[in-house]
Amino acid sequence: MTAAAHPASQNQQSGKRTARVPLRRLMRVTVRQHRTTLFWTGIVVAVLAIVLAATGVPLHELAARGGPSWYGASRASVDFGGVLQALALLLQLAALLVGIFIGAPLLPREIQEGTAKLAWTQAASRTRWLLAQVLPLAGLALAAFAIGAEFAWWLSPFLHLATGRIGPLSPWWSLRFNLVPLLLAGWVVFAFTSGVFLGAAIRRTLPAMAATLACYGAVLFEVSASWRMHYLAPMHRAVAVQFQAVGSYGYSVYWGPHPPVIMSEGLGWPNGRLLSNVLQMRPAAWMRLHHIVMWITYQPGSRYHTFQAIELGWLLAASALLVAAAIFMIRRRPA
Amino acid sequence: MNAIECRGLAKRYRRSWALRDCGLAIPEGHVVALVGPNGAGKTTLLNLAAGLLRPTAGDITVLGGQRPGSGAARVGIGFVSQDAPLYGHLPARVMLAMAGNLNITWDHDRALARLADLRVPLDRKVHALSGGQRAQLALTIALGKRPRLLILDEPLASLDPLARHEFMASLMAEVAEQGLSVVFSSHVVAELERIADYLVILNNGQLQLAGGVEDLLAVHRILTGPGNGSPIDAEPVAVIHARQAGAQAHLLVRNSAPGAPAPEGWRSDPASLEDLVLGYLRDPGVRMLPGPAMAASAGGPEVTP
Repeated sequence: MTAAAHPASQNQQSGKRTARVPLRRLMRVTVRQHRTTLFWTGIVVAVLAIVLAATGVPLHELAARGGPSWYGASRASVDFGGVLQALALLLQLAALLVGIFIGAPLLPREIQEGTAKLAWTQAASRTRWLLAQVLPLAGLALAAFAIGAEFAWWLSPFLHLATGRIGPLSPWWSLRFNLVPLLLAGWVVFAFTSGVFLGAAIRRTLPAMAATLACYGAVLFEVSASWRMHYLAPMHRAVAVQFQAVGSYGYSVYWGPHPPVIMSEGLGWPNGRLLSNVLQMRPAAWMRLHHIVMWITYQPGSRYHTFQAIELGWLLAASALLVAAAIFMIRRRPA
Repeated sequence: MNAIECRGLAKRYRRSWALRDCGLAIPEGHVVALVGPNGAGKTTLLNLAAGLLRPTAGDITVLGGQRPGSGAARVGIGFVSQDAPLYGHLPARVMLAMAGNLNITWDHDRALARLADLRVPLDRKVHALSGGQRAQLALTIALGKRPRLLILDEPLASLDPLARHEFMASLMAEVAEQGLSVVFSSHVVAELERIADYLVILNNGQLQLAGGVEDLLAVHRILTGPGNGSPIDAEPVAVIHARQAGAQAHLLVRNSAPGAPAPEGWRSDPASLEDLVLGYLRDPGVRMLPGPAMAASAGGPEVTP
């Protein structure tokens, strides 16, 4: 091979070669690129805020007319119980939509339209590029926090009706537990990063959106329906029972200011072993003789904030892992 | 220093090999035409050089030993992928600003001036631009980072002849001004002579020919002579391709030395670059690589009139 015919270009700026493109500039790229998405997100957030305000103001007026009494609060919960359920569903859906429409298409769109080949051959590394695509999400999390705060205001007339049971009036209610401001933000972040991860793995827009719907939906369902109640080992409590006849008995228990979430209850021996179905049919005298008690498995109401913190913690940790995995995949695989 | 260098480079997609046993050293400062039929592996080779793909075997370096896709390579290489992907929903001006934000060595004023010279409407959205204007915008972005090596994958494919001419003229002006190396792939064979001073032919995933255009033209001839018989076994030439036209045979031959006389009874004409490219492409089995790889042609192809 002959030597180079022309001298090396004067553009050789070896000092600058290892310099990194500032994240701030890359984020400007992201914001400009997704301006339409941001616009529509803003519209949806505004609509949610207006719906909450439009239903929240009459609710508060109704509660105020009743005065700070049980009557006002109970009128509110009767008249607005349906609205509460609808709003809770709507907010759960909003977080899901973030994953499907903002997170999932993020990478497949670039890959399918070929623009990844443009973006990934510029000076910015893929890692920094993807970080800059993901970080403006902080704004979305902030919006979710604000909506969560508005929803907390909306709920305030209901609060002193909390019974500690699973149901719309309880802060433990599965459709409501994750709608407090921080957790709503956490779930929005998790939905988004799930979408980004699945997009990086699947690389096609529609399948990635469908997979996000399925995966996020499954996780949300499992967490709400069961996992959440196992963040900490449940507690057990034996309660004395008044036995009247076969299969007929009564008991009462005082829980204090924080009603618990009852997970299960059953008759059992004083040592904690539960009675079999056959033994449960023994006469009352037998029950009394063996000091049979009611064993209640429960999560104390005082754990509410601990559980919120645990859920926020794993959501954020999982989100960080998902982003790291997405970065790993786009670094390894072709554009 | 070599703009692109590869040794034993191979790339496999699932079961089929897109590129096999590719050894190449393209010195800096050339305008290199990478020629081959569709599916020859041109895009694969260029994507490997741009760091968008990773080799299955062998290795490839760019800009004198840099790993493709490394920070230095990303700064030093301007790459325009096939079909010149751009963000269609953005105005050209915003597209430029965005490219500026993605780069470190970016000359925004020059890029703007270039588009203004080419009369590319800056406030029109990219998808509303003509094919030629889009190609120019993509080229401007690649040039805007002031690369030392420009890699263009089929830059001419979607352009009409006029736009093609303008694109190449503007590219040549940049090359003359900035002294950068250019590697572009093409299956447009005509006009290559005016543009490229270095030729690489890729066929069936394998390198067939690589070298400076002048050097290659100096050793290749077109011989015209009687259609039957094989009169040239005595001569120190290798027949690359033989074509029978009526009573006459046209042979593309490679001399062992420039200026060797024609065999008796044959007329010898200089080969054009087009003759050369077409001759090689029609006989994918022939490999004529510089240096030791020349040995690959030992035994030579057979004349089958």
